[in-house]
Amino acid sequence: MEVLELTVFASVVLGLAAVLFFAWNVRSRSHEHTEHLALLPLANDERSRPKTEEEAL
Amino acid sequence: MTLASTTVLPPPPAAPVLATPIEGCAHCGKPLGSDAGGTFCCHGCQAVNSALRASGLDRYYALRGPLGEPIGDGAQAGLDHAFIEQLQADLSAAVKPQRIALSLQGARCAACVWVLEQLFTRMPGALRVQVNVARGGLELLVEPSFELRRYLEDIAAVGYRVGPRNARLEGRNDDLLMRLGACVALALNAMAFSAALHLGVEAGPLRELLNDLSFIAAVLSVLIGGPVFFGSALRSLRAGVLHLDLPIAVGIALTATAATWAYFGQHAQAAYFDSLAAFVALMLGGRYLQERAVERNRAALLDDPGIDTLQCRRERDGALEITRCAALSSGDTLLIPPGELVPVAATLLSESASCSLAWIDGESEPRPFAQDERVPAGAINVSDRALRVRALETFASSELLELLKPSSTEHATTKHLNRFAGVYVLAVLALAVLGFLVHALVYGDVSQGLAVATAICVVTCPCALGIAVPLAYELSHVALRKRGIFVRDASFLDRARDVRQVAFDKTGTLTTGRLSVANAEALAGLPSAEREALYQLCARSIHPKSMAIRSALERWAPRYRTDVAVKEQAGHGLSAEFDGHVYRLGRAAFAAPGDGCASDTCFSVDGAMRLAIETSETFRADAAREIELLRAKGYRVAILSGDAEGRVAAAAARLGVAAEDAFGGCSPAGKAEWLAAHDPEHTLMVGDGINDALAMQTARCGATPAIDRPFLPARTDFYFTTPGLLAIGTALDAARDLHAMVRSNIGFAIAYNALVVSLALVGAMKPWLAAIVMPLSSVVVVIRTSAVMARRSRAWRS
Repeated sequence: MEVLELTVFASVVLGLAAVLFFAWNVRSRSHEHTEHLALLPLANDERSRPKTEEEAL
Repeated sequence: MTLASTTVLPPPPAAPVLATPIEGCAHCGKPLGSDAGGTFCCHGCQAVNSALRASGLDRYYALRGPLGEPIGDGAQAGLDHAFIEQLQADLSAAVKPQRIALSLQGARCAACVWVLEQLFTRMPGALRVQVNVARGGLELLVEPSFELRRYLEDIAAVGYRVGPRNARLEGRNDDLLMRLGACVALALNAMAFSAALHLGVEAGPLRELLNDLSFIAAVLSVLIGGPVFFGSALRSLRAGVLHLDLPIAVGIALTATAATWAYFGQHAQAAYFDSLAAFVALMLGGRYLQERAVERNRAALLDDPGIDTLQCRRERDGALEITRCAALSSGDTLLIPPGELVPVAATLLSESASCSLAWIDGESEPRPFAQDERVPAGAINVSDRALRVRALETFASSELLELLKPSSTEHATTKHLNRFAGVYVLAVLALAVLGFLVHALVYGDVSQGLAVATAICVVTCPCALGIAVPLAYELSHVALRKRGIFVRDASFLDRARDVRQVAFDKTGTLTTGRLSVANAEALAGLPSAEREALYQLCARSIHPKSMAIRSALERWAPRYRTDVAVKEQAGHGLSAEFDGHVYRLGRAAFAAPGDGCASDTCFSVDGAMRLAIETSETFRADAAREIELLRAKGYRVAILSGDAEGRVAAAAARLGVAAEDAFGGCSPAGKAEWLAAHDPEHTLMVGDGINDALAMQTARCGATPAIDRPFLPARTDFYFTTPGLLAIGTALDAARDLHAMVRSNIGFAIAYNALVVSLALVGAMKPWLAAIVMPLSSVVVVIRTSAVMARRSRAWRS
């Protein structure tokens, strides 16, 4: 029985943590910057690319 | 900037310039149409393509994919917003990094974000940029040395516009999203704890703990999510109207009361804690969808009504310049061509004038004004000539600012849905009372009566109203947006189902709005004095033919003369007498009577024919087909145009519009009058200029293809960025399909509620069963709505 009560306590704590994490996400508006996040894999790639046509030449 | 140096762009190049050629416009990929001569659909796309290539940002096309949005011809206007100067001054005066928030128009995808970020990181003093595509926002963190204006010019060159950040879009939806997230978490926890209770945890400390936690989760749900519905339900009751939030608020209140009664009274048979928490979370989900749909579309256009871009003609140092109205000062002399509006209160300098004040006071008859009389801001010049006026105030103090504010109709709360909501609330309450009375009085079991009444309140879920209807709206808006149709007013799709008649403006709507001089080389044969005289005639008129001839003449850089008075006779032409000659431009019968010239535009000096000028206009490629389809679907199609009757009749014949439904020579008030007399409650007006604004106010709905014109898109129900007229039929199809979906959802809700109320009345609806059927009904209605709307929207042509 004590294990079950501990499990319930853990689930409440996890639920609370999830709500706090969600609130932090909403406040930092990361849900609205999905396009930026989608571009992150290109960040390293960009550093090695020439910026203009002149540089490319 | 003088008039002589404006609006001339080089013709689109013929050679493709993309690394990966695509069919259609080399920038946006949209079909070019049979009339297109180059690689781009418009000058805007050409300019943006050139700017991207020059900046080494060709990768934009690879990131974006083959299809984008056309830029348009007006989007490349200079960047001269006064607010940018102020921001730059504040930034330069700062000593530490500053955060700058702006509204952004034109960003649609990750490729746009990439371009904006790339241009930003190249600037000295750039620290961090955040592009908010969903809300149309741009946030910069920059050093004081950052050249803000240069950055904004760079992004304007590649097709993005900025405006001052408006706080209207902030706050509310974040708050709703927070509540939604918290309530979803609470609902999941309540359902997990209650599952153990329903599955029969034996009595003891653990059961009590789970029961307590379920109750706490349910109460927190009501405290967090309830105010969203209680507030609007109370406001609607105070206003004496029924609102869709009423049944939701009543449902939450009754269920919360029942759950509290069950908790403190130890009535395990009425412990609907999980149902309550799930109900609140689902209703908040529906509300979030509802608010997000239209907000996204509004954010796609700058949040201001285009006031910053409103322009007028000002005389300065002997030259005529086009300037922003916001830059006007008291005492400035302005030239107001026929059909344009007076931007600020002004004194009339011309001898007399006739102005329509219908915009201001609804007066349909134009009012005459005498010299030195005060002309109010917002008056439309309906005289036959351009007016000279002297500004009496700055634009900031002009009454026109109020007139230009977008209409503010919010949320799709239609009468029939509200009526249904009222009936729904009364029916639920009546059934609950009936259930209690039957069990309490007939069977003598008060406790069972209360349990039955509680069950009825819990299981009668207005899921169709609370979640399925908003979902259907959201899906419709998203599907339309993907087709380049941006619905600005949520109630448009409700009103559009009543549309039986579509009235089109001709120039700029059925046509591309551009005329060109077909025989421009003939102008070179005119003596320079006559070319200058011809320019004086054209410079004072906004008639498309005048503008086409003026553009053709600008290669000779003619001088604008302030001492010339040009008279415009609607439907005939322009005339002026100066330097000892009478110059005329217009129809042959007007310009050179007796000459027998067959050309549509003639230029004469002292009645002697000098030059026959041929202009040609271009119809949108799909105009005839779309009109045919609209007529085939039973819509009456009319043309209301300010152009000459003969041309309108010719356009009607070419496009398949009945001759009796084509009207030329219509003034702005004339269009509105015709609509007022011809079924305005069932009319969609499609236009592109200020002369259509009155008609749009009269009609049931309004639409425009002119996204780059001042303020008009902000006053319409939807705007479209497609090159053709496909958007009109598609929007009407969407309204029809949405209405069918809403009706079908209400039918589903009635059937579901009839079933569960029957079970509740006979006492068969236990808390565990309610915990299953209520969320299940919502899930079913969501899946069904999504599937049906996806199938129907695929059938809309694109």
